[in-house]
Amino acid sequence: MPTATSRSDRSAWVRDAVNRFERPLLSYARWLLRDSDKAADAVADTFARLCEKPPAATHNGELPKWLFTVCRHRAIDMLRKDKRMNPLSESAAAKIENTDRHSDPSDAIETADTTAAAMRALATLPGNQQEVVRLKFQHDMSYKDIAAVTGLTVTNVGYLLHKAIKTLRHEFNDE
Amino acid sequence: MPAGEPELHDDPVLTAYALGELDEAESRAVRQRILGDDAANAYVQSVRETADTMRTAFADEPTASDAEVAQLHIKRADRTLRREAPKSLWRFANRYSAAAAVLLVGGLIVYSMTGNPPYEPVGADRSPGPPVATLIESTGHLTTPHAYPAEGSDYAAGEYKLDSGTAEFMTTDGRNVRLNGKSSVEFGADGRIISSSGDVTVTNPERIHSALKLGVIDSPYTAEQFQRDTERPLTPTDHPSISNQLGVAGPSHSYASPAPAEPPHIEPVERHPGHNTETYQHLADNAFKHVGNAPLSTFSIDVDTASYANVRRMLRQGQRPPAGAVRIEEFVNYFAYRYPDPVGPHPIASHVDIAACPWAPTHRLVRIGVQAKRIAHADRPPSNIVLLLDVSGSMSAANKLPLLKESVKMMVRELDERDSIAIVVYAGASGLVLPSTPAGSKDVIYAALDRLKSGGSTAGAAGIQLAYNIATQCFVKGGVNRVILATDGDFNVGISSDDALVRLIEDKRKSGVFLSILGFGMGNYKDAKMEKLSNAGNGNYAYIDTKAEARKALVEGLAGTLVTVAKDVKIQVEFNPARVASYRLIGYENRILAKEDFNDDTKDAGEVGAGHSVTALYEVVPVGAAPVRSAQQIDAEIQAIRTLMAVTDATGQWYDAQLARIAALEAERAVIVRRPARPAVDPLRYQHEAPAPKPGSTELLTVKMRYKQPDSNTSVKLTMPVVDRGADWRAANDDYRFAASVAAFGMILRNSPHKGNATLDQVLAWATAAERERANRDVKADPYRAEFIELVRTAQGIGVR
Repeated sequence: MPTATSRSDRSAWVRDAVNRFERPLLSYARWLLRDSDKAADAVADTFARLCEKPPAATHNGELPKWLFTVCRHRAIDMLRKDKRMNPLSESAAAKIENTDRHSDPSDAIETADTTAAAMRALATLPGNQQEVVRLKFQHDMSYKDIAAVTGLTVTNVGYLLHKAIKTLRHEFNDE
Repeated sequence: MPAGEPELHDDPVLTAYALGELDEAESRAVRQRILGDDAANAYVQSVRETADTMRTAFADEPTASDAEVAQLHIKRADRTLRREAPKSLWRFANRYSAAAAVLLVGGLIVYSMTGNPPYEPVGADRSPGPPVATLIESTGHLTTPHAYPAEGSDYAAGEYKLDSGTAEFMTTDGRNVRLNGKSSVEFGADGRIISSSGDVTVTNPERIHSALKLGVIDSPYTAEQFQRDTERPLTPTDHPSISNQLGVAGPSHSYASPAPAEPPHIEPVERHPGHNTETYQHLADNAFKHVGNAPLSTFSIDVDTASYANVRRMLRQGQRPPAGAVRIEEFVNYFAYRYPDPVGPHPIASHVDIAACPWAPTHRLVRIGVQAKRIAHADRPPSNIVLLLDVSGSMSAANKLPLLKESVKMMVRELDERDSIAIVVYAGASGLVLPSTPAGSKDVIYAALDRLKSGGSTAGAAGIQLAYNIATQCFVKGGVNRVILATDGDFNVGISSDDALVRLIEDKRKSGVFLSILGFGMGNYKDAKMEKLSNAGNGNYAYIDTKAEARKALVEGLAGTLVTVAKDVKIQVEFNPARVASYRLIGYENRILAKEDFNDDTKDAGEVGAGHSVTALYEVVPVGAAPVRSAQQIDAEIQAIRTLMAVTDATGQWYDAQLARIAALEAERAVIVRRPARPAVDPLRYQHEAPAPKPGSTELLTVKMRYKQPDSNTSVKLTMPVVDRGADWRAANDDYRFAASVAAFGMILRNSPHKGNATLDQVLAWATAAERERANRDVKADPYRAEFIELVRTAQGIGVR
C-alpha cells in the first residue's frame, strides 16, 4: 500500500484496514481485557492512531503486526489503570496460575466436541502461552511477528509455543 | 503429561519445523536429522494435527459479533468527532445515541470478567525493574510481587511465594534456585537472595563449572563461527562471553572464552593474506538411536580422506579446527587396515569385529570393514585420463601449482603405454595444453606440465566441458575413463550454480566418464563443495598438501584413485532388539540415507577403488548394560544445558547444537529407566512395527551391503549376520584398537557429546600400544600411523584435551 498523500487516499486505505482487521483485533482485545466494551475502546484507539500516526510500512506484512502491537500496548495501559490491577494492592498480586479460566462466550454455545475440548485445554495454559497460541493459530502470525507484537524474543516465542503444544497434544491424546 | 514418561522429542526446534517456521536451510537440516526416526516424524505429525485442531477451534469460536463491530464504529466516530469537529459534537452525539440505544436494546452483550484475575500481558517497555531471575519451571501456585514479569520469563527483584508444587529460577549470577512446597524466596536487585523460607535449594555455579569441565557445554560461539556469522573481526565486546555472565572463572577447555587481554583481531583460520573463504558444513554428531524406534541404520560408504589431511594442516599451524572440518569417518579411513581380500565373485567383502568400547567400557564397539579387491599394477585396465588443472592466480603459491606439477609427474611415472593423458587448464580462457598422449611418452607430458603458469581468474565450468569432451573422444571401453580435477577450490567464472555443475557431472558419469578431485593449498578452499562434486562423479576426493600426501593419493593409491571396482556402495545394519538397546554410528553424518534408499538403485552412493578399504564404527549399548553414567548425572547435565540456554539469547547453530545434545542425553537416560522387555514408545500409526526378533537369536546385528559393478545399474546385495563373542578391549587386534583411537581423537576435536571418558592422553596410550604391536609384527614401518601419534601430541600442545 503506497503512503497515502491525499486525505481521500488515506481514508480509503484506513477503511480497508478497518474492514480487514476490526474483527480479529476485537477478538484479541476482548481476550486480553475480558471486557467487550473496553475492547472496543482499545481497538478504536488503535485505528485512531493509524489515522494520526500511521506506520512507515503499511504493506500487507507489516500492517497487522503494527495493529496488534499498538492494540496490545493500549490494552496493557488500560489494564494498569484499572484499580484491580494495582501492583501495590495485596489482592491484586497477580497470581501466575496454571489454570486461567475465563468465561468465554463459547461456553454458552453448543460447539463441536473437539472445539470445546480444545478451548478447555487452552484455558488450562498459563496466560503467556495462551496468548502466543492465539496469535499463532487464531491470527496466523509467524514466530517473528508474535515476537514483535509481544516484545518477547523469537526463541522465547518458540519455547512458549513448544510448551503449549506439548500440553495441548497430551490433552487431546488423553481425551 | 504423564509423570515419568521421558519425552524423547522435547525439542522446540522440532516443533518450529513442524509448524513451518524454519527457513530452507534449517528445515533441510532437521529433515535430514530425523530421517528414519519414526518417533520424531510421528511427533511432527502430531504437532501439525494439534495445530490444525486449534485453528479449527478458533475458527469455530465466535469472532467479534456485529453488535461489537457496531459499538466499535460508534467509538471510532466519537474519537473522530472529538478530534476533528468539536462543534458538531452535540449533534453527533444526539444522532448516534439513538442508534446506540437501538443496538443496546438489540442485544449487545457485554462480557465482563468475574472471578479470577485475567492474564496480564507483558509490556516490554514498562518493566517492574531489571530482570534478576528467570523462571525456568513452575508446577505450582506461585505468587509474584509484580503483575507481570520484566520480560518473557525474566522476573524482577521482589518476593516470590510458592503455595504448593515446585518452582525453579535461575538468577543472573547463574545460581539455580529451587522452591518446593510452601516456600518463598526474595531476590535482591542483583539476583542475590535476601531471604527465604521453607524448602529452598540453591545450587552454585560450581555445577555449571563442572558441566563446562566435562566439556558438556560450549560457549555459544567459537571464534570462527562468530566470524563467519558476522563477517567481521571479533572484538572483546562482541563476544558473548558466557563465562563472565555466569561468574565462571578460570580456564576451561571449551575453546571460546577469550582472556581479557586478547587482541581485538582473532586470527582467521588461515594466515594467508587476502580474504578467507574456507567453508565447512557442520552437522551435529549422530545421536544414539533406540533400536525400537529405528532398528535400521543406513548410510553410504565414503573413501574420502581429505578431512584428515586438512585438519592435520590446521593443527600443525597451531589452530584448532572447527568442528565442521572434522569428519571422523575420513580420519579413520585415512589409514590402511589389513582386512582380508575378497574371495569369490564379489569385488568387495565386509568384516566385522566387536570388542568393548574403550571410552564407554559397558558399551560395545562394532567395526565394520569393507575391503575392495586389489589389482596388480600389471593387471590394471587401460586408463584414459584427462587432467583438468586450475592455473588461476590463486594457484601460484608454492604449495599449489608447483606441488600439483610434482604430483602429476609422480602419477605419470606409474603409468605406461596402455594409458593416455591429456591436460586441460582453466584460467580465464580454457585451453588444451596437451592432447591425449600415451603415457609412454613421458618427456612430452613433463614438458607440457613445466610450461604451465598461473594467472587470471578461474573458469571452472568451461574447462570442464572441454575436459569431458576429450575424455569422451578418447573413451576406452572396459577401461578407466576419468577426469581428474585439481584445484584450490575456486570456480569463479562459468557455471557458478552448484546444481548445474552437479548435473553436468552426473550426466557424464552416466556415460562412463568419472570425476575425481584433488584439493590443493588452503584458503579459497571449498571443502563441502569439493566433496559434493566428487560424489556426483563417482570419484573420490583427496586433499594434497605435501609431496608425501601426493604420493599416498597418486602413487600408492593410484589404483584406488583410478580404478573403481564397486560403485553406489551402501550399508544397512539391522540391530537385534533382544540384544541391542541403542546404537550410534560414529561419523558419516553427511552420508546418512533413508532406510528406503538402501534398496533403491536410483540413489547415488559412494564408490570404492581397487585396494581401498572403508571402515565404519558403531557404538552399541547392549540390552541390560550398566549405564556409563547414572540417571542423576545425566539429569544434571541436561539441567546445566537448559539453564545455560535460558540465560543465553543465542540462536541458530549453537542453539540447535544444545538441543541436539539434550536429545542425545535424554535418549541415553531413557535407556536407563526403561525395562528391555517392554517397548517405551507408542506403536507407530503409519507403519507396521519392526518385526519381533528371531526367538533365541544370539545375533547382535546383521550387516547388509549393496554395490554395483562399475558398468552396471543393478545392485547386488550381500548379507552378513554377526554374533558378539564378548571380546574385551585387550583381545581386539591392533588395527581395531588403532581405528578406535583415531575415532576418539576425532570426537575430542569435535567436542562430541558422545566422547565418553576419552581424553587425548588415552588416545595416545591406545594408539601407541596398537602401533607398537603392529611394528613388532610387520617389519615395514607405517609412517602414517607414527605421524598420527605425533599429531595427537601436537593437538595437546595447542591445548586440546
